[in-house]
Amino acid sequence: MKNPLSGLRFLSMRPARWSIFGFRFVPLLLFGVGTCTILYGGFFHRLPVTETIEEEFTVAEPVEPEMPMGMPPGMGPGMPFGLPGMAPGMPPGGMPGMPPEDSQPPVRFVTKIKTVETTANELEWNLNVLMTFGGIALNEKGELVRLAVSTEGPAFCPT
Amino acid sequence: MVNKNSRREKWRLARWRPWVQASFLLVWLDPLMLRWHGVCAPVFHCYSCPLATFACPIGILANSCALHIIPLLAIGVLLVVGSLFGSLICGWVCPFGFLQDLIGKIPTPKLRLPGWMGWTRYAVLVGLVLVIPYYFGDGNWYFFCRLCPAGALEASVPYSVQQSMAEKTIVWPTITKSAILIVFLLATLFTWRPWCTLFCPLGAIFSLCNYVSLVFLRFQPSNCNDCELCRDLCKHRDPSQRRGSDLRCIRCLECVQCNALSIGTVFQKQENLVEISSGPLDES
Repeated sequence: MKNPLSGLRFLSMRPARWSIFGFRFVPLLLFGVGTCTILYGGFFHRLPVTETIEEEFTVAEPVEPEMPMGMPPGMGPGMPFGLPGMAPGMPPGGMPGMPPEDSQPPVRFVTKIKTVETTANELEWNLNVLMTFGGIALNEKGELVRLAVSTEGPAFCPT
Repeated sequence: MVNKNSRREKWRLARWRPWVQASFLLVWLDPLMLRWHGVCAPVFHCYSCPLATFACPIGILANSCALHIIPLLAIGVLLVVGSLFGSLICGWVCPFGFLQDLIGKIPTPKLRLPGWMGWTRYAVLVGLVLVIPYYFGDGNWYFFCRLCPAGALEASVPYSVQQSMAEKTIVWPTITKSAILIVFLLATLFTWRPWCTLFCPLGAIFSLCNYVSLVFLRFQPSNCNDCELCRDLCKHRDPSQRRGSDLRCIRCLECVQCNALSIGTVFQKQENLVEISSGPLDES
């Protein structure tokens, strides 16, 4: 049987023989390139990932009070005119005699979901994103998106 | 006398191999619970293994291809280790190779595979590790980690056991993955290192690095008397071919018991020496 590698003998022999003044540089060249790749990749090569955190958090948003027609600006709804100690803009039920700056404006509570875009160098990225449960995926736009964190199953073990 | 002594020393070198492999196994199995999964090791050890210290370079390559990113860290590690040692890693350091060596010690008749089958590793590397993940993502059935017997043995099985011990719902490995694992274990009984010989993509990368690695197998023609001892000692040779080292060479260094062969570095003087990386010993 003909040796399928016989035609590639020149490949197997030559590169390691390349030398400058007897100094064989190919292995060291590759070693240098590999070391630079590790350093650049590990510490400077930054990779982005968008993460949607399914964590509901509540934010208080100010609510504009509904103004009854004809009421002068700064007057809360339902406030009777002429009460002693009642300042303009004080909400209904406010204590008489309190200064206007201490009064609480009307708010409503809104539930939101966090979306965070982070970048990290490859070392941190591998550790924190690639190797964690759930992993990451490409979305329709080709962006890297972190999947919902799963506590079931080891990372990248598609059983 | 000199030849006898050097031969004995070389024999001692090869005898150390299982102990070196066992020592490195301790490193890969993370006795110190370091869990440096952000860094990839130069060996084939699934990082989903509950006892993995480092990440698997092939897993990182496949997953990075699926995510369309270039894993510079993994490529750098492979370049550095490959340029220094080539496939010496396969023979002396890799835990999956060590497992196959141990199973191979069971005295069963061993089949020697033809040399051209070493090329299938490059098909696995290009097809299953790079191209299919890049175009079809990690969700398809041909994604490398879905088929990998090392993943099945080191991650899926321990994970299933872990779940059963915790009395949780057991997620069994898929039928395909289990079947590949069983076939692989059976094949290990009847041929030397079937995974390394036929399918290992990491071995494919390192055997390419054999062409340029710092550590070389050297052939000294003046010491060769055509006794064919080197070919008899090599478990990975093709019996129909006259070669001392081929594409599937894992640098187990069994062959250096022959006086014509020795292990050396590219810094040594080259007088009357022929380097062997993955080529044949002779032109015949």
